[in-house]
Amino acid sequence: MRTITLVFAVSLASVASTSAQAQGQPGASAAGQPSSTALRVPTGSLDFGVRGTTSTGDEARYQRYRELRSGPVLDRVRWGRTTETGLFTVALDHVGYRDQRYLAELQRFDRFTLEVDWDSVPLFYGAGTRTPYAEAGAGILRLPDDLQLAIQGGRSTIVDAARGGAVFDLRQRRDTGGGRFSHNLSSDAFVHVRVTTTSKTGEQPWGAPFGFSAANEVALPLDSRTNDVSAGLEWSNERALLRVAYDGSFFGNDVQTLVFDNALRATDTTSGSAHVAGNGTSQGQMAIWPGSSANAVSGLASFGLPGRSRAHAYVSVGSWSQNEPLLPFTVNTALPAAVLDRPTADAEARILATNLGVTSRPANDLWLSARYRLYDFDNRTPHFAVDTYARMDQLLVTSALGGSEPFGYTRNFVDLDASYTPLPHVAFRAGWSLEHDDRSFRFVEQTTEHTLRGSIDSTGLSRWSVRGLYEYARRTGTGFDEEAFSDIGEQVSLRQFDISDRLRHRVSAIVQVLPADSVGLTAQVGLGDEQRPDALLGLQENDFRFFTVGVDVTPGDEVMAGLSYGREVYASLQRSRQANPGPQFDDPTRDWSTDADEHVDTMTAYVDLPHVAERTALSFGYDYSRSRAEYLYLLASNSTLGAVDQLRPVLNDLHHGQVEARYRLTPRVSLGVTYWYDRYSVEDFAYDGLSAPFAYAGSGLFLGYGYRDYTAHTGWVRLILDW
Amino acid sequence: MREVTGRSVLAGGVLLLALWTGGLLYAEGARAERVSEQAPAEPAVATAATAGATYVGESTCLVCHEDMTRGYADTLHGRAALSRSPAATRGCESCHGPGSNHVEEPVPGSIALATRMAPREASEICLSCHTRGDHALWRGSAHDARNLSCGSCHSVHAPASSAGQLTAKSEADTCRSCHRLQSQKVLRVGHMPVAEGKMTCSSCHNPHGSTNVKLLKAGNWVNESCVSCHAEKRGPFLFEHAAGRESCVTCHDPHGSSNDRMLVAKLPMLCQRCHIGTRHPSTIYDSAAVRSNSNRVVGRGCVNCHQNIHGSNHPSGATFLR
Repeated sequence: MRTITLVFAVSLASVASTSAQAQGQPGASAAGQPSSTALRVPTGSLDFGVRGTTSTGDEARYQRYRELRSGPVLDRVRWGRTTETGLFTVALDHVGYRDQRYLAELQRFDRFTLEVDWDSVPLFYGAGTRTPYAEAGAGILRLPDDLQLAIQGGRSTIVDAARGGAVFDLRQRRDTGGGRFSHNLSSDAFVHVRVTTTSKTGEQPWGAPFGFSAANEVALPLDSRTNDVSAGLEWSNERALLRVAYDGSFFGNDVQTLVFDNALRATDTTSGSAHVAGNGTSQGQMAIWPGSSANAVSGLASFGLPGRSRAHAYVSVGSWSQNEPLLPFTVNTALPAAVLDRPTADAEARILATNLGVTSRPANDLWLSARYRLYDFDNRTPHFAVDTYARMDQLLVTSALGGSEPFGYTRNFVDLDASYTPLPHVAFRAGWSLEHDDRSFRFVEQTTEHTLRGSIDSTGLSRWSVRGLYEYARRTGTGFDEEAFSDIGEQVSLRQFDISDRLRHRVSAIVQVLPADSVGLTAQVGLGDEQRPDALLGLQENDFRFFTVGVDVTPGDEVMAGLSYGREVYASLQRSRQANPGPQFDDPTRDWSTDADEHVDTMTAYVDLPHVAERTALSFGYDYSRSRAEYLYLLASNSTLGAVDQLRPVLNDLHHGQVEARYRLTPRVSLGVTYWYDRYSVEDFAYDGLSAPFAYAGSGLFLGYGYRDYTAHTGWVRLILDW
Repeated sequence: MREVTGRSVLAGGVLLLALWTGGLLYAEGARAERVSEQAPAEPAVATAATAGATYVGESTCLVCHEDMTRGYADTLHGRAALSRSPAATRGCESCHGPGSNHVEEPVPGSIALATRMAPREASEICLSCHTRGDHALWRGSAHDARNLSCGSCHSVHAPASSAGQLTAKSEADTCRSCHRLQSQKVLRVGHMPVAEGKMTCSSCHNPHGSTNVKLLKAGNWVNESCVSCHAEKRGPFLFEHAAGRESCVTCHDPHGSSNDRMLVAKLPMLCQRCHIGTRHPSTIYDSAAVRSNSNRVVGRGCVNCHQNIHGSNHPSGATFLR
């Protein structure tokens, strides 16, 4: 797709970030967000003009979280007034576009603060995506009956359905509006209330399958809203602090059920197997996000103690719940209707969190810290009994587990650290941590991880700093439930990587040197390895190493420049066994491994010339990120598996370059010109064959959403007014 | 390392913590009985440099240091109507301590200068006022433990940022000075809208300390932070995906990734790290499978079918197909 549109008009603009890494549109503040509590006395600015964008390839990927449509733009407005007793500020970004943001703040010093804000975040999945489905009501996706009949009768094919699909832009949008009010009851106490409402609308890619061998991707309609409320009272003086707070979150979804036609069948039948999509049901039904609520009450106390010590205690008690009506087991009328164990989800989890800590500096050169945390996720959802269920609305199968498992856990953390500072700016720290977790309904009931660490931190020096950290961690599990694996037909020798026994080493170091007032050098290096000695299958090793080097040069007010380069390497090894039920299940000659290796190169560069010519500022920025990932399948020397045709490497190449020039027409009015160049190249075996508009691949019906190359040019001509 | 029963260690740790705190509290109570004076109504900066000194007033300081009003007078620090601001108390001496010694002997060693102090000593100056709200849990936080001070990121007199009085031009630049790996991940193809200016590091993290792990701002565990925006994935659901319920970062790297949906590994390999049984979860999906457009490897891989992987509310949703 190629679009070229240039529109000229008038506009307002700001100085772009000196580093290309902050790719927020020119209207975005340097920090990426409008300053809600601007410490500096606000000034006014107005940035407006014209933007032109031309792109080839995947326009959606380029504009994924932003809108860079050609046209007139009012990119940035800042207005504020500060008096001795208060301030009022207004910030507007990208007015009228999908990524617009507005914020206003009124503050009366020592009395109150009132903020209101609105923020829209787009998510552009795909331009020119295609689907034969049409929405026939909230969450109901239909195909023409004659098409279904024709395919069922062999007079047409699903390929015809894909070709006849409607072309559309697949995108969603998140709009958040909110307000915060804070009122000082006295010089030591204040109350605050924050209310936000977030709506999510649009569509997103969604898997709506009918058979093991066929994917069926649809555009799931989105229409949900989350309302959040928080309120708190806080009192503090020089010695102590007390805080009580309430947080509530209420999620509602107008599309809690997705009903979708089966392109291959117009009439319901029973199927002997769910492997063939053409058998079985004429439609499917899926549960989408249920409405839910979360409530928590918390209290925090912090108090000063002798010996330059301070302790804090925090407790939070909350619950998450949802009790939405449950759908029937299937909408396939050819299958017998089974009775639900209960009509609604009746799901609830009680959450208790505590955090207790003490820090102390009993001597100038000694710092001690101790902390205990508890997080208890007590899932009280009653067991939901299921004898047989409908697999993909195709056929009834016996439940391996007999129903639901209300998974829950309790995590305990203890952290003890001591820091010795023999020199004012050099600290040596030693620490020990323990994480002990109890779980219900997982294969390992308990895990305990001990972590030892040591660090050296020389900070606060004017010319250099050196910081290094070493961590050694060992996690072991108890209560291994072999039966649970066999119940669900998985290998007993498997250890799931998030709970498996693990040895981990991590080292990182950073050196920052200022050899001269105008030169800054940075080097950072890190490496880590994870080994799971007791896991015969699953993730075995997971290692990384990286380094970055950077230089920033500021010879004077005339030039600022910087360059940094980083390389990351990630390597993992995981083992599996390809087997059908029966003798193969225990046959080690069917074992295979995936040796994954990813190399990432990142470079950022910038040059700022604020006075390159009279009244003229110029800046350049460039970001580059390149990833190459290989997945190599390995077979044992005595393998009985067939030869492997290795996957092609996955490549991702991203370039972003920008140039910005500003010419000061008058002390308060500037003319700005900005140019962005973006290029993305990708090779990904998962998406290479799914390009739009032909979105039917041998195994299913796809939207054509994916990862594809793009090249884009965007330019702004702007007027910037400062006062 | 000897294996230690987790519960006994926990019990011991909590007991130690309680004893320590109790001892300190007892000592504080005894001291309070002896000293009944009111807490000072103004910031107290006590250093060796200012020992025995008396306050001279801001106007005296400005005789020599008028240029230091830059970055101070035009900020909230310079607003006398804010009762906690330096302007409302002792002006320059609120942070630098009483200045009479410095007036008598105008050398750097006769006044409290954060740049010449050990990081934790320097932070104490700021923490004498910034005691509440987001700053309440600085002590003992990850940054405090690494010997950082407020001045590691902030500058009172020469901030480079438009907000937050940061030493770098932006919040992202500030964090990047140490967290290079995370800042590089933000540039990957799979990322949150940080580079687009819709989020910043502090959208999720409170660098000044928090009750959550990893300095996360919202909630008390990783998932509570994630669902503060992704509320639809909160549940609880009738059928839970245990790995996801334990922690979202089991599968996702929130800072960015080269994989679809910021996954820590590509599909189907990620799922195959845990699901090894029979038939399709344990099968090699190689280029031959790609050429035949196997729905287990093309597109979104396993999630082509197991779409409700974050949890299902469907009675037939045990394997997240519905």
